[in-house]
Amino acid sequence: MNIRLARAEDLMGMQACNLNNLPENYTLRYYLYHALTWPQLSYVAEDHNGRIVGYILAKMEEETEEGEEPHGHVTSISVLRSYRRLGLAKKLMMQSQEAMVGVYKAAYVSLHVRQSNRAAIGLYRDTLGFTVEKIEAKYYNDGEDAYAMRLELKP
Amino acid sequence: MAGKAQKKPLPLKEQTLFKELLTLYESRTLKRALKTADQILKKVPDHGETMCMKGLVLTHMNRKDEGIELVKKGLVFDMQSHICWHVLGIIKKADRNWDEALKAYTQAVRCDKENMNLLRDVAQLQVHLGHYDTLQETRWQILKLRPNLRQNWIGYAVACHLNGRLSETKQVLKTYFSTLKNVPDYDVEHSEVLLYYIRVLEDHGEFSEALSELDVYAKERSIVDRTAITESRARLLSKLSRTDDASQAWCSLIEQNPESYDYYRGLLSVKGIDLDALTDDTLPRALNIFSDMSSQIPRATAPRWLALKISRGSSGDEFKSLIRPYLLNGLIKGIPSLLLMSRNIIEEVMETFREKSEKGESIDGTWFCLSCRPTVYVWTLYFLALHYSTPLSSNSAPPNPARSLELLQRAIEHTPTLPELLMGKARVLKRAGDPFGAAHAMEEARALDGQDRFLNSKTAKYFMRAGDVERAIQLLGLFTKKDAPSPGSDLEDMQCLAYMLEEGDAHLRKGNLGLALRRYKSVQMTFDEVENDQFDFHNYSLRRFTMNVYLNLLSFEKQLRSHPAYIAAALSSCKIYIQLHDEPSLVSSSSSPAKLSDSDKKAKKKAKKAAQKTQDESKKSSANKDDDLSEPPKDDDPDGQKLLTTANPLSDAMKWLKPLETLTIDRVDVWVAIYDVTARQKKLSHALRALNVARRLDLEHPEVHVRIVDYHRRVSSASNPPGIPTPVSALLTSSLEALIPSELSLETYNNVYIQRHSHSARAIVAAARASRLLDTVDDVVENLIFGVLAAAVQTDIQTCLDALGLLTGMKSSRTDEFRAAMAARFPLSTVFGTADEVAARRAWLRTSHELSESKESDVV
Repeated sequence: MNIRLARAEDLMGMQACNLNNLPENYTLRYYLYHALTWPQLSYVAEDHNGRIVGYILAKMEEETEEGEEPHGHVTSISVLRSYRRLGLAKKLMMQSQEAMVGVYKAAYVSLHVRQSNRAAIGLYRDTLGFTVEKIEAKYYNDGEDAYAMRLELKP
Repeated sequence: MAGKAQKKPLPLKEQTLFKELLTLYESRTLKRALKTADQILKKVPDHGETMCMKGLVLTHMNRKDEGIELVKKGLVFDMQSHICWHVLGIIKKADRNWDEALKAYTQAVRCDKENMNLLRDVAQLQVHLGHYDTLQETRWQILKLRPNLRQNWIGYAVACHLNGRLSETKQVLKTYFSTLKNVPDYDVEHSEVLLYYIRVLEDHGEFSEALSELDVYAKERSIVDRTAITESRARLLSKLSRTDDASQAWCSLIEQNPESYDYYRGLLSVKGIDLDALTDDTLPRALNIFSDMSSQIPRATAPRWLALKISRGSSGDEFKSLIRPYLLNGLIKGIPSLLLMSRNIIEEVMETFREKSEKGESIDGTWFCLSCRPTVYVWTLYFLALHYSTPLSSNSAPPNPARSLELLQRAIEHTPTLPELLMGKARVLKRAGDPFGAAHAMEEARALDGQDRFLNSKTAKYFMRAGDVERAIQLLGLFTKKDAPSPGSDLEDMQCLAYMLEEGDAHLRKGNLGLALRRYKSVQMTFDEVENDQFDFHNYSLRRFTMNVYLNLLSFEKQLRSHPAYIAAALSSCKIYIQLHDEPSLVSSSSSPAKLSDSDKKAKKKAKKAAQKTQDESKKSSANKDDDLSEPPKDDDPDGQKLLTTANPLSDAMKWLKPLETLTIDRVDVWVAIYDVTARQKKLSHALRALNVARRLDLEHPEVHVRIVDYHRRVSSASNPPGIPTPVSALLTSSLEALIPSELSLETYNNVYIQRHSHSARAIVAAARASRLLDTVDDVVENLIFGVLAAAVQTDIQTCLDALGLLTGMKSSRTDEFRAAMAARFPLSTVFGTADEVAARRAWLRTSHELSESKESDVV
């Protein structure tokens, strides 16, 4: 599959992919906000018909305290079930990470995942190397807790 | 804020009150604002500005119509006031009436030429509406007034760019750079501006200059985005034909991201190889390069895949030697997407694998017999099953779904817990024409992994295709927001186009035209939303200095409605509107309660309840947030009755088609739809133009053929009645000549078409429809239709369904005979059954999986 930087015309395809795979969804405006603020950080995987089969939607954390290092945040990452086992999630994540470090000097990447989402936790922890930093109680709209996970980027 | 020379200034006390009024409005303390406004008006009843402000306040207090009236009145009293025009502008903007808003804001600026806020608002509207010449003027004003704000320079540069003035853009940016002092060492925003500057140089064709500037900035590290630097270098070096340096650049990009096809394309093009147009000479060279890359970067899949892709056309040996290890690897890893490749050679190779697997023999030195690596065997069966379920190419053996199912059954017995196998079964049944069996199988797959939304969405889609909308929505509800009025409304809020289209199509297939139109309308509204979304980003991008992606956004939005989802909704809606025009009785029969099945009635009731709930919720929330000017969209037509009973279906259809016409979409079906609508509107020359575009795209297309005959009929009957001015009728008659030589009768023309396309079922059905237009006797038409059954004819389920539809539409006595023939031709299909048979299958599907109404979801 072709892996490349997300462009404006990819955002609707990313949205469709997200709606297909994950319960956390966003209006297109939110995707536009990511693309027009941090255009270097979001990547897509497309098949030979130009369909978006995987994506990573990423940003830099906007609110940082004085003296705190800049860090990246994965808003959403997903690959269509029929395109799994190709290592796409890992490839997407790595491209995004590189840009977070290269452009914004990010010290680490963070993300949130539902405590009950075994599949995703497996992806982040085992495939991508994230560790659980803490539990954020009632993070999700329906009251479920989240694992706040983190991946150090500095060597 | 004092008035102009012509009008009386307010007395001192009222001046203070007016200032208070503005502050109160800004902080949305509306009740007090209203009081204050009334105080002023008591003393000075004809103070236009206060009237306008009061009107604005009223629009926020749910008294919108009253407010607007007042604003209009206030404006009349004081047309020189920028405040009055500003208020009007705000109101028009809230209604998304961009044209009117711009007019109002422009007037406001005339009254207060140096008002920065107003100028910025004007610029935003100008760019949104594409008025790039006036945009440039406005942005110039803004820059002149405040040259110390970085954004204003960038805003002016972008305006010049959009207005097509590249060299001016370049100049502006250069001047801007010279004004900069104390740029911090590591500044992402500055970096983005520099990248934008390089892009402008590149767009202007100044490749050398762009490259040297780029190198300077890269060296001094003012540009921080290394990927962007290397990509730009690679492109520029390629354009300058500096082959060695360009190669190096492309190679380092490939190292960074070995999965990007563009990078390989770039590398090859520098070496004189066009990846999309390979010759006998360049093909082996390309393969060499890919092979090198593959060994240099073993983890990269792209070079191996691209090598396979390009060697497909060449001699089988090359492809075979590459494909064997590729397939083996895929089977070992268990990759579902492995099928997406050239299948001629693959079938041969795969069958070998299967046999050897079953015999326990090794494959190319790798051992995996049934007992030691059973999953490999399962994936092999899966692969072959899907392979046999679709035809390889137009002149190969037809699909063999029975064999597919047999292979899958073996695999499922082996590994019953693998959802992919049951998904495969569902897909095979779908292709074989049994949507009920398909939905059943997909549901079984879903049950194996309730947490996976992908399986959930697919299953819901399959239920929609089987006509069970209620069940589909129930399923979707397992993943939509629990506090939403209904699963459908959450999916609409989240702009889920796939859902809207699937449900619309399901209703269309069942003849619930109003509901179908309602769902398609959601698609239309979503695209309107997406178009409006860009508005806020005009100014936002300037603040964040992300011009490259901003320009990218603008060009995307210009092409927005070329999106397949919009086109699909448009064409389906137009089909309905055309039907409504041709058969007005459909309106009442489609919405009559008797026609809806029980489950449809239930779904309809639920939709009405949900719409009511949305109304109530939004009323509640709007009472609290009185700073929210735009009212939440009311769903005043939850079952599409209003859409269905429209007074003018054809002009509704044209609203859908206009943007497609402007975008000159390269699709025959789009121009055929434009023809169908305009012809019925009696706009024959417009229809002819559309028909000619369609002909240019594909002269022999079956739908085009039907329209040519149709056009002939319309013109012949149009030129005959009196009252048509002679020059017009002469024009029309001559247009006929261009389509069909006058020596040919329409019947002959039709017959000749059939001769030319005797192997295409689609063409045969089209010719049958054309025959009907010529009032041919039923027997003859029926014979034509039955022609699709001939052994030599290439056909598919959808075409046969269309043929069946023609027969039932004609109330043909041979319909059952056709059904029987279909059952024989497509033994696994259920779609050709009678209404009773279909209902029976539907009932079977319902009872085979009972989903309780209030099931607690086992998912998150």
